Amino acid sequence: MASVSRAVMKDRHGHESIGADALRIVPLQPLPSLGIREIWTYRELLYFLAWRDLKVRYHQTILGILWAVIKPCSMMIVFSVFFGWLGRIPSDGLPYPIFVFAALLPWQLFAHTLSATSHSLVANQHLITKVYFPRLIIPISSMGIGLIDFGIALLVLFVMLLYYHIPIIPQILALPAFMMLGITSALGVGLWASALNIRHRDVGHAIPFVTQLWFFVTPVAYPSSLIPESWRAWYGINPMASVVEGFRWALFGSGVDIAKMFILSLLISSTLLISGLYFFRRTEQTFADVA
Amino acid sequence: MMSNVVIRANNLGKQYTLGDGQSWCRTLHAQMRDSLLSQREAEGTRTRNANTELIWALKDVSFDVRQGEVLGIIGRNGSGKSTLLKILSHITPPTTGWAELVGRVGSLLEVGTGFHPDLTGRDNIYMNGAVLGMTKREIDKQFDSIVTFAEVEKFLDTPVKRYSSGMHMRLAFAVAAHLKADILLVDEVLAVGDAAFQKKCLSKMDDVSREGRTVLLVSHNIASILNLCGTAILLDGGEVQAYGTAQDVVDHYLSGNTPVQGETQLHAPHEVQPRQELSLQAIRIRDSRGRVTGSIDAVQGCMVEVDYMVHRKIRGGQVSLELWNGEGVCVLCTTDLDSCPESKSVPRLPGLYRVSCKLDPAWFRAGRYWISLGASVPGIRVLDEAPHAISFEVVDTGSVEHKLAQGRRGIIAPTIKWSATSLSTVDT
Repeated sequence: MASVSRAVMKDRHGHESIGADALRIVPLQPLPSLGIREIWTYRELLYFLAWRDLKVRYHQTILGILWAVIKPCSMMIVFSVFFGWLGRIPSDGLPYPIFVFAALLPWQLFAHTLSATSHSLVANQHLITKVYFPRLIIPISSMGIGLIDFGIALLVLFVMLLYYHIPIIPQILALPAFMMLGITSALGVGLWASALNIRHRDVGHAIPFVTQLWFFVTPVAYPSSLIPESWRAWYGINPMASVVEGFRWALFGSGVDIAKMFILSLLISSTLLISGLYFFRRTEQTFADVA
Repeated sequence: MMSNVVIRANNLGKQYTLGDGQSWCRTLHAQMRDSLLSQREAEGTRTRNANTELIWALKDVSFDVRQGEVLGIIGRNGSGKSTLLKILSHITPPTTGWAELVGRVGSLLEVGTGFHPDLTGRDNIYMNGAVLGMTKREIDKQFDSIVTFAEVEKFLDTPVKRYSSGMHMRLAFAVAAHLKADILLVDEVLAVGDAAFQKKCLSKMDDVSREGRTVLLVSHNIASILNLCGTAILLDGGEVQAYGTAQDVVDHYLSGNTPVQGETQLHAPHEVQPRQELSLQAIRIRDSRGRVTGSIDAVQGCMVEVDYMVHRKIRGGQVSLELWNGEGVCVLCTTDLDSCPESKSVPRLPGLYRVSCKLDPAWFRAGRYWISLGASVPGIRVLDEAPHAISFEVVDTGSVEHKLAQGRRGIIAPTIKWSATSLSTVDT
């Protein structure tokens, strides 16, 4: 009933619409639009929410923004000691620390985005039940911190490249594409998870543990050349495998042939994102009732 | 004529599921608890079974609001007022019907939405403003005026978690009061703050309506409805009971809607929230001879009896009572700790309790009164409330005023002892 042209709008009681430009409030719609234009009109709120998360993040800390460096670096050290040095896991001929750091970077961006988006609605339920705005703004704004941390860690990576005398190669221009693939996958899963989590908090409990499992099936600590050649294309079912290998390819020109993997991953992650967006839009109308 | 209708609600209805209604997703904890409890005990817990009872929180609500009109919405707790506002605010969709709003809509379902304790006052003004739908430029422009209104100049760069609750609330209201919108949807926001600040807010609200903005105001405060609103709607059980001028609707509410049998049961068991610590159960009016009655003698006074149930141990809680007269003026407010403040630290243990107090005849004039109940940990949280829980008639049979048959002013009509001394005498 809502999508009908409003030129002459009368319902069964003969009551007319009060104006073509009126905001119309109607019962649940089965197939809502994505509402991208509305998000644009609320872009300032999007900015303010991201800004709030950022300001609050390192509030009352001593090390502050340094945490964005400490976390990936300490992971790198632990992995280098246990997997690289003691475990002697191959690293495609690269020094193990930079081999693992190049993968930890997109992985942490992914893991942070996934965790932040899936918890975002529950964390902001006081807003959802009190004010209207396009709900997509909440998971989208929650991605800000992950991106900033990623940017800082990227600077560390470039310092490491200098240290190990690894030249910058033209493939590096493809880095943003792999980064986008990682974000898309995280947001796709995150949209599903956040919309489910506000109704069933089980999802919130499952996410950290699923992320941990996901970490082990992603070639962060090991190269995907360990996977038999015939299976490798299927490895792309996990989009993060392509992202991680893509990062190594773009930075070092090394690793396995990722073309087939990448195409499969692209398909999977865009399916996740589009279905996630629709599921979110479909259920967002009831968020305030179930929160 | 149709052109200046800016809000139209047409057969709005909203259905909710009572109980959890989702047997397949009950928490394991609830299942284990229920299987451990005996049947009788389990009956008292809310998640006992998956009874999916559907209730209409709002049903067939239709009205038009014209530009510049201030419409009040009154009704008892659970009558659907807040649901209606949530639908019009676009927060929850209606189950049936539709509504339309023309112009920029600002909804204030609470003040301070979006406040973050770690952010400074300055940051929170921007945050809260953005959440309410203001642009950064609008906030910039009004910033000084907001700060002045809130009286927090000195604390602008202090995190709001260090604010007193009064400052916190003033800041929140200041932002809300500066919201520029063609239509304002306001829920109970006046029910906060000290008297002086409330007055300031009321006058700000009055400015708002004079500016030609359309306002929808949900309130328990009859006086503010009468002061601010031209028209009003009375909701009961989700349906429109009365719709007309504010005075008529308030009269209807006070006369017809509140039971006068001398006793009101306040809570059906299903209405008690799972995490609620205390629930007000019943209120009774007894006359001087102890009979439950809805009409008392102005010379005799009455006893008010309140039953409440403590569900979890509470420290520092109090039960309070407000006596309101028919003009929407609060005559007095009293709490069960007033006469023994030292018992504040004594915890209230789970169980059913009854408190009572005597209302002195001197406080009454003839007419209708009603009592609002509340239970709270003062300054910290509200445990339960029952506005306009009961109403009763005070019949004047023998007061001075009655005997002298004079019209007098004043909210109360006590008999005050006068004394006379002769200062000089004049011979005649």
